[in-house]
Amino acid sequence: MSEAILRTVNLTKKFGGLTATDNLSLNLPGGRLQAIIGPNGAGKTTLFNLISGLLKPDSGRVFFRDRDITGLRPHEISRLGIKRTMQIKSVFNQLSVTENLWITRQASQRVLHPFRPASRDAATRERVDQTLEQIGMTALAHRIAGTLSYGDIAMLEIGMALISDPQLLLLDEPICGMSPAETERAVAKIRELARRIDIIIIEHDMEVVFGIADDITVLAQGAVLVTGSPDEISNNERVREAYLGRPEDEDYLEEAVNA
Amino acid sequence: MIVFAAFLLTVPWTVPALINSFWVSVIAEILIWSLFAASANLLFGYVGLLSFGQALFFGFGMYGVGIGIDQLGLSFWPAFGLGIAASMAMALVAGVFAVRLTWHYFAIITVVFSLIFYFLAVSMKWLTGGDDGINFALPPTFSFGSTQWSFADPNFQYFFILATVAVCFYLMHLVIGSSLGKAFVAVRENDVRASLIGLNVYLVRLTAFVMAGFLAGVAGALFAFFGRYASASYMFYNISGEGLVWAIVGGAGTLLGPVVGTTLFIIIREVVSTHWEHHSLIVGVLAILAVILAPKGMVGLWRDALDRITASRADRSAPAKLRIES
Amino acid sequence: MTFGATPRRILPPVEGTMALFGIQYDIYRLYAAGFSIAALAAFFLFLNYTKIGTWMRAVRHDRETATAMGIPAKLVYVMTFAVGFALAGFGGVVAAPITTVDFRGGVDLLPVCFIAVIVGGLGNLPGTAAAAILLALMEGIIQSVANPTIARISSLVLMSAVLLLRPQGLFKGFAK
Repeated sequence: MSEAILRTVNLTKKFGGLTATDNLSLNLPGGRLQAIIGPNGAGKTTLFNLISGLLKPDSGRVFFRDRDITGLRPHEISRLGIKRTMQIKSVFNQLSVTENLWITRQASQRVLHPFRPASRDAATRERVDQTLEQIGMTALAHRIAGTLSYGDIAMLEIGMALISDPQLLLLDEPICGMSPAETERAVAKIRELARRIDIIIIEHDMEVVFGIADDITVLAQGAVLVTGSPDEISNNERVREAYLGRPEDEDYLEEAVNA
Repeated sequence: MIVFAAFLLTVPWTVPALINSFWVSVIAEILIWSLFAASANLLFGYVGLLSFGQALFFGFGMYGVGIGIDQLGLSFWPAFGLGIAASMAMALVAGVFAVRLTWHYFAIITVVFSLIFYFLAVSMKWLTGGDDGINFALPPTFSFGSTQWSFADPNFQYFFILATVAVCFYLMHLVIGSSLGKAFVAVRENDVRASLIGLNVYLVRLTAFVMAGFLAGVAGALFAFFGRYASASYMFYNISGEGLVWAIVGGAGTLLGPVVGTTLFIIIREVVSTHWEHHSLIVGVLAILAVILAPKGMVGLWRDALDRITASRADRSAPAKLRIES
Repeated sequence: MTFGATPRRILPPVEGTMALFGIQYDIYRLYAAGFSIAALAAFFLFLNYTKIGTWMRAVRHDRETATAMGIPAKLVYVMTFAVGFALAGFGGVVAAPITTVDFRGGVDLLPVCFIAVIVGGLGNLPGTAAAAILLALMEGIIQSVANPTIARISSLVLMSAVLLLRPQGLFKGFAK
């Protein structure tokens, strides 16, 4: 399946004098795990914010499977099946892990019944238990989310993204802050999910990116620098420049280090 | 809890025997104001919206009844219905605008709205009687043939108020336990995350706002029947403030917190005012102490104490568990 | 008896009137205006040019970073509260001969104050002062053509409009 799962056309977003997203046009086919990388300030999270509706673009359009979702509100975009995790992990801190998952599942339904007890919903209960197993947090089911370790909160976020049968998963630096063991577990999970669900992942950890991504898009200063397979990207001169600076800068660095 | 409920049922007989029958009406009043405090609590404790406008809806409920009986010649139930409908309609109109804002902006606009209508009510003296208010004759609640039950009978009055308030609290209990109630808490905890999981945050808040308007309206209507009286002075924002204080001191975000808080403060007011005219001073001091020492309110303190008792028992029976990273 | 529930009138320290723009204007009111401007200017200088004022602004912007820099945030809150109290008290003293002395005087004034702060922009001192003047002017003008209650209500409606349409305040300025 190579229809474009996500397409942006001349997407632009400015904050005062800063152009965070600069006429960005992307065409990401489905069925392949897409990674978006780039140095700090490249506009990666801004792109996710624009796609998920938390920000409105100044100009340009966003298409999800040929459907124009530009300007839709976040909950409408979520209902279309686009789920995301945040760069700074964000869950419902005072609720338990189970409750977090529960409310996420029920929120995706059209109407919230105001008088029927939430706990009676057997279908939701099953799904919550399933998801708990999927993310390996069955033992932590009743812990209050705010007391979990950072890696566990990240896993919970992924669980919340999964529980409502996503059509497209946007993962914003999912590995960030995890221990090596947690990272291994998360990477395995993401690889497994990518077989069934379309995923776009923003990540800084190059090992992870080159390990799991099918296609990589490199952003710099709000625009696409280059797109390609992991091999092409790792050998690309301009990518290296964008991250590490030019060779002359390397001499400068050496001087500073030796001084 | 059951003991408390049983006690409430027997009040018209036990209280006059133990203290004096004046207190039966005080307890009836406490019930009305607990409902009012509960409306502030629904918004603040569960959805995280600090509303100083609940007195506005209380006033609409009150005047719906008052004007309904006095000027429109309605009988009990139509007037009751008018009061509730008026306050819910007002809550919808106000909410559509107010709920677009959050935090201090929301709080201030609720103050502004309630002030606008307070001044309107004061200036339209021909309709509302301004601060002096309007008095009206009390129509019977139920009449079958020659028998009539009305608020003129203090026992009937008490039981009717108790029944209505109990029904409202039960409805609140249902809503809080429902998926809508969970949505309230989600929106309070993290509104960005809530919108990302598909909740229409604006609609959730608006629904809560109208529900709270309903509760305040019922309280206002009951109050009008209770006193055979409706006055604009109850629409001023300091009344909303009192409701909030009662709810917070009792325990924001709990079902019975408002009842505890209201009971505490009104009993103090009644007891102290017979001996000393500056009872408000005690109220103020108590409120400050409560917020500093018991931020989760009285109910919070109670629950913490219970938790500590059950936790210490559990610790003794189960060994500590280790979590092994796989 | 100094305290008590009844409002009391106090005579201004400087009596008499002077001719101003064709009407006889109370001299004390000019003094009151002068005191207020002086107090505002002093507070502005305090906020922007003294160490403690800078502490206050720092804590307001980012409490955690301020604490990391060694600023005692809790103490700053207490001091801010105290300064606010003092300014309000000063305002009350200056206003006393113009209005009446009444223990409930603050209740009516409070919502208008909040509105001035929001219309002017949170954390924006000159904006708040400008907004307060604007609001007072507006209410005064409307009052001269309609009855006081309508004046009150219209200014409240206008305030709601600002809150709803432009909650960050009407004035850009020194804020943030």
